[in-house]
Amino acid sequence: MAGKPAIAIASLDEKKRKYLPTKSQKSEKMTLTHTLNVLDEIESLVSDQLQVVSFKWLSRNFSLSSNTAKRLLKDFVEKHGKGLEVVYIVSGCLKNGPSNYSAKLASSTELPEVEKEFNGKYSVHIYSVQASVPMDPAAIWNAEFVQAEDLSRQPSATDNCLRGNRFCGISNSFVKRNIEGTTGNVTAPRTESVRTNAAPAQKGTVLSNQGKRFQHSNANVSHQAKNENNTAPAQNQSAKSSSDNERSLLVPPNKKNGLGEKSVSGTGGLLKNMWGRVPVKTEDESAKVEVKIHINDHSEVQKPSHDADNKGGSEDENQDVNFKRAPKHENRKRKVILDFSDEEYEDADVISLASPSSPKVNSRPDGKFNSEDSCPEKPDAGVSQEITFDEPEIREEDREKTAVDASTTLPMEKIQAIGSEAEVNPSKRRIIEAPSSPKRKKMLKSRIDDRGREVTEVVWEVTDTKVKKEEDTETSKKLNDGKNANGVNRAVAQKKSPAIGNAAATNAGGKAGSKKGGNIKDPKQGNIMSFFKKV
Amino acid sequence: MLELRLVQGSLLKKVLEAVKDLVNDANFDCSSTGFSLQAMDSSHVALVSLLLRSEGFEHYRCDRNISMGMNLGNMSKMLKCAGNDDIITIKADDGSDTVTFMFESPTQDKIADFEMKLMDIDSEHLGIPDAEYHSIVRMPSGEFSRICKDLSSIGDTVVISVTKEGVKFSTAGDIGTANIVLRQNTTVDKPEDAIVIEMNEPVSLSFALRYMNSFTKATPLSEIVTISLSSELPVVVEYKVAEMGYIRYYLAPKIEEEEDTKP
Repeated sequence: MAGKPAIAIASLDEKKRKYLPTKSQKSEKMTLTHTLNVLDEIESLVSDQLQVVSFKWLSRNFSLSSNTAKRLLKDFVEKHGKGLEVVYIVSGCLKNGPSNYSAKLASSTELPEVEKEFNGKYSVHIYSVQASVPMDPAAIWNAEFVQAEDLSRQPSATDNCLRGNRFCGISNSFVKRNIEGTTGNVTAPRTESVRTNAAPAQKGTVLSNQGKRFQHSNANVSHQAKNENNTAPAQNQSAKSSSDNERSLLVPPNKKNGLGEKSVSGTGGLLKNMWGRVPVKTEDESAKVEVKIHINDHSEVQKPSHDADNKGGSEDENQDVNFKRAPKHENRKRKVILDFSDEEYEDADVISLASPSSPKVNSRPDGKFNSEDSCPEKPDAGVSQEITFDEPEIREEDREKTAVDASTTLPMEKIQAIGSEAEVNPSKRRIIEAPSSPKRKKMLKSRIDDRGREVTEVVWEVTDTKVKKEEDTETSKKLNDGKNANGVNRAVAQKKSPAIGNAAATNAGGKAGSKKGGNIKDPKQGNIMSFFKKV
Repeated sequence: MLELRLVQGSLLKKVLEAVKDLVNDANFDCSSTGFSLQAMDSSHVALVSLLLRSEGFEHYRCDRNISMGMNLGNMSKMLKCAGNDDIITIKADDGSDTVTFMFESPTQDKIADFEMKLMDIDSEHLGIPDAEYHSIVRMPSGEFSRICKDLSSIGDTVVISVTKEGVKFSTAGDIGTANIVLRQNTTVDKPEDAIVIEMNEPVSLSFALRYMNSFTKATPLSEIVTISLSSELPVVVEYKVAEMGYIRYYLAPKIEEEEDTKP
């Protein structure tokens, strides 16, 4: 897919709009059939495999520019849209925050309302097409995420649209791609470490810990970078990236932003979120009264982190979770997340009042970036300007706060660091995502449960890729071990099957999954048909 | 024309609860001998076989053999609308694509009719040969259910071994291992509390606990469960349905090479 001629794409655009015999007959035919194929494919993906087809996914999958992809989706919705759900992305300036450029996702029913929130000119595009709007909003980006992961997992020598970044609207003639050298180096060790660490049983926890660690280090790095050069995000980026990952240079930050962040949200379990906040309530009631601005919310959350570094890490994640989710799923979702904290804070009035409002304020800048990343390939000078503008602002605020409340200094810096990281250098998140990706299984599962049978299958595919690609070696090792030990040790054999089967059972949910699950997961499971014959 | 009147309607409700977790859609076969169902779960690992003999019904009319494809989830929804004491009548006309469940309250002052659409289901009917089993364990169904539930919190595979000492249920998981041994015990006050082990040959087989747990959904049907084991054969977990029939679950064992080397 990566190798489609750029000319064909360009001409496709025109055809799409006018169907006029502009270029040579031949090329038109080609592009027309191409379009039809794509539309057919979208239809089968959406209605048969129940995949969420977003323009981003489409663009990468068929090597189209994102604008073309959007147009294709629009065509698709016009032609085959009946019975399908469409999620729109509305971007522009909000009425209640005109200085910020923000983007929101809205289902077709919510669209009018969301549009009202915007001020003046705004754009409405189709973000994705799906059979039904998933219960778990994370499902919307899942396909993209898996795809991005696959693309970035390709051998470093392979040129693909993510590495090539050829549809990015922002180009820099001074930056040259060097696929063979740097990227390969960076990615290889990462994945390896994941594999070694991901012991069969503790996979989840180990990975999340790892994720945390990465995050920490990243945070520190970025923080330093910031200190050195506060106003130049570009500098930050380069500093960070050089320290950690060259890929950030190769990849447009906005392109990967959403994915990376989301992956982190995967690492932060919901329970963790809740536990993370529990100590806050008891400790911080007094502190909250002192400082009431949104930063305070951070400090509340962060305070416990003084006690334990790990906790801090998880808190960071929590923050990220909020940021991440908020922009993608509109206010409604944001509230849901906050509700946890609200409930916990019930006792203290100040807190309950402060906490809901503050994240909103906070998340707005992030939201902006996120939203921007949801239409990443759109070159929008205004947006990018805003980005650079906003960042220092936040930081300065943070600084002030730090000055006010010494006890909050540390965590705040962390937030600052992470926030900016998310904004400027999402590519790093991308790395974090690699180790944490097995965790994502969980999210997938829940999603499955919410929906029907076939969705379970889709989920299965995801898990399979995980298993196959990421833990390839592991599983094979396991199996080998199993064979060796099998003769003597039943316990060993059983232990192994849970490792495989756990994921299976949970994923399968029930009978639906069991067909595939049972067979795939448990090669040892016999089939009843081999005992009884058909009548 | 089909008309089956079951005074103890709760039996049918329980039967449905016992089957619907394992099988989504199934054909109910009615013949002059009784009302039966045979279905495999979607992964073809387990099979459930239900028989309600015609004698068990207060009124049983089945003019000709008929097979009715039903979605068990939907059927269960409808049967849930019946009270536990209600008399349930199943009615279907020849050539009709619906089945009617009629619920009569014991006092006859309330009569409810529920009509459900039938569906076409390709069912693969398997012939189940009568086999001599190496070991047969009869035990309180509640105890069996409890064991399966407990073990499934530890591992996902249960090894059931019958020796002359008794029957052992064991599992192993990431957090550790578990072994539960039951000895033969026939000297109890109530016959349904007895644990009877008939062993012709020691046998040891592993099974997926997930399925075992869905089998135990039939526990309310009977105080006693009978587990018949033979190496090389699926285990049979049988619950009697009052005096009128049974529900039997067949589960293919997990194949382990070690079985051969076992003493």
